[in-house]
Amino acid sequence: MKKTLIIENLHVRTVEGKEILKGVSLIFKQNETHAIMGPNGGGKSTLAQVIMGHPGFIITKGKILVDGKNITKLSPDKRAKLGIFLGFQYPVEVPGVNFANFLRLAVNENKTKDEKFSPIAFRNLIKEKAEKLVFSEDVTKRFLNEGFSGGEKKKAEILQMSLLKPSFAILDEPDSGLDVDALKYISKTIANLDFPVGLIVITHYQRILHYLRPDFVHVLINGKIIKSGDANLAKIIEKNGYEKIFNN
Amino acid sequence: MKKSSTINNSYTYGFHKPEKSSFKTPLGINEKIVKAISAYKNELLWMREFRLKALKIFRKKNMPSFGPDLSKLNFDKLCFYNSPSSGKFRKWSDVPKDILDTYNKIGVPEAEKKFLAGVEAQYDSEVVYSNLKNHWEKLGVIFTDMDTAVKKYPELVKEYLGTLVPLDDNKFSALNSAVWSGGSFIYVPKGVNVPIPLQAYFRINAKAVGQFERTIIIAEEGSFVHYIEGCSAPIYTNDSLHAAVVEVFVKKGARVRYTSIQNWSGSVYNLVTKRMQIEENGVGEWVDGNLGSKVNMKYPALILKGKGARGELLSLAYAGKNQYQDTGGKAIHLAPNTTSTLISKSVSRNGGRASYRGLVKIAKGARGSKSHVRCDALLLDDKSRSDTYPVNDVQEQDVTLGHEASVSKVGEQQLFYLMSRGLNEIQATSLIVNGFIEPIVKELPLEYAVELNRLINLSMEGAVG
Amino acid sequence: MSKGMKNIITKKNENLVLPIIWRGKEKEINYDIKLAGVNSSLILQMLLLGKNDDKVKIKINVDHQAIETKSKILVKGIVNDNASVDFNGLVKIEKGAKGADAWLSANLLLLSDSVKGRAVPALEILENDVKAGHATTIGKINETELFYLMSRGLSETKAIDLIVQGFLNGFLNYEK
Repeated sequence: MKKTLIIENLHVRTVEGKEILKGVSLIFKQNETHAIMGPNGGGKSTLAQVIMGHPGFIITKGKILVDGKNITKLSPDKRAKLGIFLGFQYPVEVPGVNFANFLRLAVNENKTKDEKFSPIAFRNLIKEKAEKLVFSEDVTKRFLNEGFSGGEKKKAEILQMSLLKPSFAILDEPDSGLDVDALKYISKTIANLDFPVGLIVITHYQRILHYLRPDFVHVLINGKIIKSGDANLAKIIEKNGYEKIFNN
Repeated sequence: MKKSSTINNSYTYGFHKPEKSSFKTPLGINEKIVKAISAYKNELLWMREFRLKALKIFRKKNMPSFGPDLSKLNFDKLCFYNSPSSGKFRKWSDVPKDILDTYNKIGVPEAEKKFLAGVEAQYDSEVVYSNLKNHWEKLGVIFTDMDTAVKKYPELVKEYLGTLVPLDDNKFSALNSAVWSGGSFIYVPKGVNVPIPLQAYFRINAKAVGQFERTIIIAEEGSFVHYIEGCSAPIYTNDSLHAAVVEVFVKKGARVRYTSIQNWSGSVYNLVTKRMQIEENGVGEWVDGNLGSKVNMKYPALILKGKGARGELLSLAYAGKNQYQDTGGKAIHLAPNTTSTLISKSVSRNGGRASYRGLVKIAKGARGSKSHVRCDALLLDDKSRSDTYPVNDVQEQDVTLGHEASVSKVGEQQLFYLMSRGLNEIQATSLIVNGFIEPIVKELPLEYAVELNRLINLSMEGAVG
Repeated sequence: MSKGMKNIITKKNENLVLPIIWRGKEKEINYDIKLAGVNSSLILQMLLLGKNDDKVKIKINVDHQAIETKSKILVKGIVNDNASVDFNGLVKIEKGAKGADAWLSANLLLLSDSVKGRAVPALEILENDVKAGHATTIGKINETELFYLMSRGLSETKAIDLIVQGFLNGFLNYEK
């Protein structure tokens, strides 16, 4: 049964009063890959964070629905439990919190008593998945994002996603700051996920779209979806830039 | 520490003999009372005179001119000596439910609960203790309670007692010197490395968990010992004033780590004087956990007396409702090439107040000395308070002194990040708070660390929402 | 600059910039600043140049009373000969002063072996929705820096001059 994530006429402003999204409507289905592109400042990151429930934004109109359930007023953890995952653009550091312990806690939240992972079993699981992403040091011994390079922070987000197994994964600029190899490892990991997931990739570079071919491409400029299309739209943007699309 | 054992009342290990009858002094303090305490303990003249001299000084000394308000302390209404068999204990049914809940949630073994809750008089880790005792006795190590030490090793005690914390140091150390009872005496001979931590808990009994403990630790040249006192689980006490004194002597090339966690439950004023003197190339470490008490004043001091001496303080303070933690530390650099590192982490919530009070003093001649202080405070809500009063006094040019402090609340971004992974606000806050204190908790023995983390998680459930 | 207490109370949206230079004359410097105006801010830059037998006792109190107030206190001192500096800074953030942002940094450079420096940067925070911090350093010229400059051919005197200049530049360029 494929899940749906619906963004319905979303109007969003910051708590300080700045209007960012001015009526965004999108439909995402599990197993589809969507790309949201657009110039900086257009509202892409805001959209990503608002779907997750970031406290710095206020929804003035519209709603967000997961399988018909209105999640617009739910706290971030409740949305996570409904299958939403956000790969942050700038993952924050949380000092002193061990990576493995934290992730095991989060993963076990959605498991019944019998299914819960023991610390050792989980550590081995992380190591197995982390190997394919190639971290500089054993990630299980480190603190959450502390001392991680930019690229490692992005890898860590993907590692978390692969273990949390969400229904929808919103990846906010997963490819920015990555070197060629890192991009390859991340893309491979996403391609080899062993669970059905709806990918929503936010990017204004198209690098990652060469690896994760999108089914749908949307262009978000000045808080509105200007155009939607298929993978070809991304190619057109790569060639001609955003201005042409906007002026069309 | 947390090995379960049967509670029994036979003191078979001989280092502490039970009093013949219960003994409790009338309220207040005067010569008569101090003499009675000394007589009850069968002390020799020298100790009795030490106590009386201290009493005179206690009377003359003023209350501290800084810190929490101590005006509610009425010395005339306090009982200064109360032996364990005086029946000051309560019925199991009178133990508050939240205390029991805490014990259950942090995993205190059945056998220990009754002792900690103030229901039973004592707890002996008999089996564990006897094995370890044989081992360290073979090494020539002395580990006994202070009352016994005064009787068995008077010359040794006389040599050190009151030399680091003299009688006239402050009002509460003078008080302690007059009415002290219980505490530990540890002597480690030259070159001896005591591989397992010596814990006050091994020989704990109500007498040792006293109001006025006096502890002396002597580590001869090149030796090493780690002493642990207290525990994270809340300990019941119906005393209102605790004033302990600790003197630690770290000789040339020796190393001493003193770990202390206090979690007095109840309305306790805990006013402690702790001082460690470190000689040439010696290393001294205080790991100080302050969780309980209504008012806690404690500033473990590192006296870096010999060249190359190193001192470290890791201090943790947790101030909840109706609590005032006034803690910190002192580093006094008296010789060249000495180093001190003071790290303090405090968490305040629910109207609690945590203050860092510190002193780094570098005397003239202490060339090449380095000192670094880092104090961070986490305020969990807008009812709570955090203060920092760091004094940095430098009288020598060739030094490096640095001090950093920060006060913050739980980061919104961090909270959002953790919640976005499915953890609710309480879980996320607990993780963040435990992460905040991690640098100090990682220096605690494992069982303490686990207990402390669980304790924090438990209290977060009350802190959020 | 006068001896005695200087009292300042800010108004709404007021941005106060206070540069203070001590060249050894005054024996006391006292400032009591109340950030009472919403969204008011303070930048206090203090330069201390002490030599011979100069002595000074400094007391700076900054009290954040309203919401969205900001304070930045930057103290840089060069102490030479027999001079001594006693700096006491208290930054207080009152309950309700949400959004307050307070930072204090004090750096004392000790240039001779008979100087005395004392710094007490205190904080009293009664509101949690704030940012507050401070950093203090007291010490002589960094040996590594000295060595580095001398290894490039500069004499010790020239190298010290350069380092002291750099130390002061930090003060002069602070606002940028």
